[in-house]
Amino acid sequence: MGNLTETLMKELECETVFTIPIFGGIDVAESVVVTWIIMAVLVLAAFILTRNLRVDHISKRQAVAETIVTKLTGMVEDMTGSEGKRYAPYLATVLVYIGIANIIGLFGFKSPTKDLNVTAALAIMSIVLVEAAGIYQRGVKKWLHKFTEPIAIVTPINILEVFTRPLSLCMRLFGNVLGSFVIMELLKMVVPVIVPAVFCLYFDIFDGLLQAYVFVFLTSLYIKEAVE
Amino acid sequence: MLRLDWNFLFTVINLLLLFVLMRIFLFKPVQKIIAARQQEADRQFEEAAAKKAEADGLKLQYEQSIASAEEEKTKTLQETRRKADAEYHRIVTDAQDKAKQIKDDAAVEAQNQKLQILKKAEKEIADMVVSAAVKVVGEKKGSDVDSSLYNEFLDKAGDRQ
Repeated sequence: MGNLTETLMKELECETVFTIPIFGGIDVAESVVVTWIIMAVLVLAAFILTRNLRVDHISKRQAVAETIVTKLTGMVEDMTGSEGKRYAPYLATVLVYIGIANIIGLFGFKSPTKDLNVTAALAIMSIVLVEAAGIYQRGVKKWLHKFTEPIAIVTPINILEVFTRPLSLCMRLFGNVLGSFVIMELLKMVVPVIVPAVFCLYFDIFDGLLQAYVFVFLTSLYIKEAVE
Repeated sequence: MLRLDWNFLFTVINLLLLFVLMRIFLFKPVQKIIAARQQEADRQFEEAAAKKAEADGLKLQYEQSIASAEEEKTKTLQETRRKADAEYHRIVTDAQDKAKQIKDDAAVEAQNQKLQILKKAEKEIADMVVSAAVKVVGEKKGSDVDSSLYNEFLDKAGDRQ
């Protein structure tokens, strides 16, 4: 059992891959490096898919690229509403990134979303986007006034929401990924054959993609609320 | 696991960079091409609508010209028929006139000939009378002559009846 705990902790620990020798040494975590890999793969895929785009007589490659873009942005636009359409590309990017980050464990990498830095960064960026969208759409005055709606007494709660929303986004994603990882590791130790494969489908693939969707869905919802 | 440090900042930079790159390499070009296709489709629809309107106009024009041609045809036909009728009547009347003329001419001619023959006959009779008179006068004298002349004339005239 002590062995199990040790293994689990080791798996959970986000290792420092290398250290930048300035400011007394900046540790670059595994999650950042894996993110670079994901970025490289995504950008390369996008680059290859969008070569020689044409208006008619399109290639299969272009059809795939168009389908991906229209489906992704369409999905996000449905959630943000017509006013929030301009934020669809960012949200679609985040959706793809989290989705891949959650299931990249299957390819032997450590999921970046298992690092609190990553989920926190995602959540903070989401809330910054939400508030920026609100200010952009309404102007500072109306944006500030929104905190006193529907009645003045809820103002503290509304202000609190600015902090609780990213916190819940961050912790939900982090906790889900961590939780499913721990469960899978425990399961693999208890029953090493067949059973983990079945649960892997749920915890690693389904839950990973679901959490990506939930994260983007909630962010879209906040944006929709902010711009309407 | 539970640590917040520089990697937070790195992740933010990574995400912004990823977003910008995806925008440049995926969203922008694909959305551009889709917009271009939409534009192309709109243009084609507009063109088709314009062509249809043009075709409709031409069709109307053709129908009108066909209708007017039909009318023209009917008119011409009637005109021709009328002319032909007139010509027919003229020819028939002409022919009748000519026939009448010929008939009249023939009648006049026949009358003339008849008159000529009669004249000739009268002349012959007169001659005959004279010769008979000469013969009688030669043979008899006085009142014998007169009576025999008279009788002879009567005989001859009676023969002719």
